Amino acid sequence: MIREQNTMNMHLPAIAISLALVLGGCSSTLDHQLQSNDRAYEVSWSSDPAPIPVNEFFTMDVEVRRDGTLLASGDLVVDAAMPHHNHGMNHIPHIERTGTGRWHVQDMLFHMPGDWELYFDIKQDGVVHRAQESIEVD
Amino acid sequence: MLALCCMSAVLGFADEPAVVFTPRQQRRILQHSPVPAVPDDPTNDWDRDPAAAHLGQALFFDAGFSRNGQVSCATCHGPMIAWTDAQPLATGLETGTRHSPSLLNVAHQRWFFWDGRADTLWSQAMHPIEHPGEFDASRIEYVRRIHSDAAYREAYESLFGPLPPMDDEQRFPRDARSDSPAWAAMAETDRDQVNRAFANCSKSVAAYESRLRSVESPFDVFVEGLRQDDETKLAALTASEQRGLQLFVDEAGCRQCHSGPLFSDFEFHNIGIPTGHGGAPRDPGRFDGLAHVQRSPFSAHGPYSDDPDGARARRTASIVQGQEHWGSFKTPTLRNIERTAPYMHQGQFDRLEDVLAFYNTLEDMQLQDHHQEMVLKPLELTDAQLADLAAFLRSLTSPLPPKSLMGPVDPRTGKPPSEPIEGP
Repeated sequence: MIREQNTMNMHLPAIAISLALVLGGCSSTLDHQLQSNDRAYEVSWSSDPAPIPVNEFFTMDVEVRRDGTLLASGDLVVDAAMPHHNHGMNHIPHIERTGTGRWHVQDMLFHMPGDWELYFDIKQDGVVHRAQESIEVD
Repeated sequence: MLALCCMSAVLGFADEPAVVFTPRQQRRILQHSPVPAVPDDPTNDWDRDPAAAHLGQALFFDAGFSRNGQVSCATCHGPMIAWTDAQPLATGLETGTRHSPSLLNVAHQRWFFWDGRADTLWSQAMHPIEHPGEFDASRIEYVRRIHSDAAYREAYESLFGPLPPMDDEQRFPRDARSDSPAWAAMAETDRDQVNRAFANCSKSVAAYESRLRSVESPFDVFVEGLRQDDETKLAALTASEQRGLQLFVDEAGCRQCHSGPLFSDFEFHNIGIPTGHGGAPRDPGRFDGLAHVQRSPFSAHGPYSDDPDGARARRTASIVQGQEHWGSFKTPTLRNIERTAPYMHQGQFDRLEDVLAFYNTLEDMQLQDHHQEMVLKPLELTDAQLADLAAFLRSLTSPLPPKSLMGPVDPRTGKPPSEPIEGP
C-alpha cells in the first residue's frame, strides 16, 4: 500500500501539469483536430452522433486555439458543402459560443451521401481564417 | 460484420447466380429498414391523441367543407388507392398543377407538399381548404360548420375547449374570407380565435394522418434476415429483387436522394424531368415553397404552433434560400411505389418502368439556367438490370393500414357513423 502511495505521489506533478494544460486549453479531447489553411489556428471538433449520419440532424462541439490557447475573442462560422454537387447544406447552422474558444453548433444536416467539405471560418480582427476538412458520409 | 453470401439453392432460385453483397452494400441496405416509430411532432400537442384522431378522420372524409359539397381530403387521397388518386394531376374544384402524393407514412416527412410550403403535417392540412382550386372554402365557414354541427362541436370542445361564438355574425361575418376586407375589419382577437380553431381542427386531421403507416414489406423481412443471418427471411426477396437492391444501393446511385428507411431524403432536387405540359418548366417548386413557409403564421415558428421556439421552428427560420431551389421538388418516398402511379410531381410517367427509362437515358431532360443536380448521369443499365431494379422497388409494398382508418367516422367515437353512440 505504501509503495503504491509513493508511486502516486511521484506521478502527481505530471498529472497536475497535464490537467493544467487541458484546463488551460492547450489540448483538446474532441475527436478531430485540424489547422487553419494559414496554420495560425487549431480547430478541434466532435459530432453527435458520430460518425455523421446521412440525412439526420447532428450537433457539433468546436474548440479553436491559437498557439495552444483557447481563443478569447473572435467569431466562428461553421458551414459545409458538397463541391462535386455544387451545393451546400439546406439550413444555416445555429452556432452558440459556450465558453472561451468553445462553440456548440446545431442544425447541421448532410442530406445526401457522398463527399462533404466542412468549413470553419474564424473571424478575428477583421480577417477570416478558414480551416476545412473532407468528410465522406455514407 | 455480417457476411452474406446468398446461396442460390438455399434461396430457391437454383438456376440463377447467387447475389453477393459487399460489406459496404450491406451497411447501406441496413440503413433502409426498419422504419422507426412515427416521430413526435412537438408543434402539435394532439398528434398522439386518439380522440383528436377520431375528429380528424371525420373531417378528412367530410366533403361538406368544400364550396360545392363534393370535395374532401379523400378526393385526392383516397384510401382504396393508397391515399392518392391515381391521376396525373390533383383535381378538387379544378384540376391543379401537381400530382397528389400518397399519405402513407406521411408523418415521417420533414416538409409537406411537393414544394415544402408547409413545415408541419397540421399546417399542410389547412392549405387545401382555402385554395380556390381545391375546397374553395374559408376558415371562418369551416369553423362555423364545426360550431353548428352537434357532433363536431362536442368532439372539438371536449378536446380544445369552447369554440368562438360563431353565431355572432357581427363579429364573425359569413363572407370574411381570410383575403377579404371583411376579415381585415374583424377584431384581431376574433381573427385569432378563428385561426386557432382552424389550426386545432387541422391538428386533429394530422393526428389521423399520423396513423396511416404501411411499413412491413418483403424488403423489410429480407433486412431482418440480413441482421439475423436467417435464411428463411432472406428468401423474402427473389434473386431479381436482390439484384435490383444491389443496383439501388450501389451502381445506380438511387440512394443519393432516396435514402433512409422511407427511401427519401425529404429534401428538394431538380432532376430536369420533362414537364407534364410540354415545353419549359414554369413551376418554381421549392423556390416559392420556402418563401411561403417562412412567412406563414401557421408555420412551426408561428403563434399557432405548440412549440414555436423548438428545433423545427428554428430550422424553418434558417432555411438557405437561393436560386438553386427554382424548379426543385421534394424527393418522394419509394415505399408502396407500386401502388402510387402515376409518378413525379406532375404525374409525368404512368409506369415505374417509364421512370427508370428516364433515369437510364435522361432523354428529353430539361436543362435550365438554374442549378440542377450535377451528379445526375444516364444510368445506362441493361434491360435486365432495369427489370431487376423495378422488381426491387415493387418489393417495398406493404399491407395497407386497417380498414377502420379507411372511411368516415363519428367525430366523437371514431366508429362508423351508422353505429349507435353508447350512452354515458
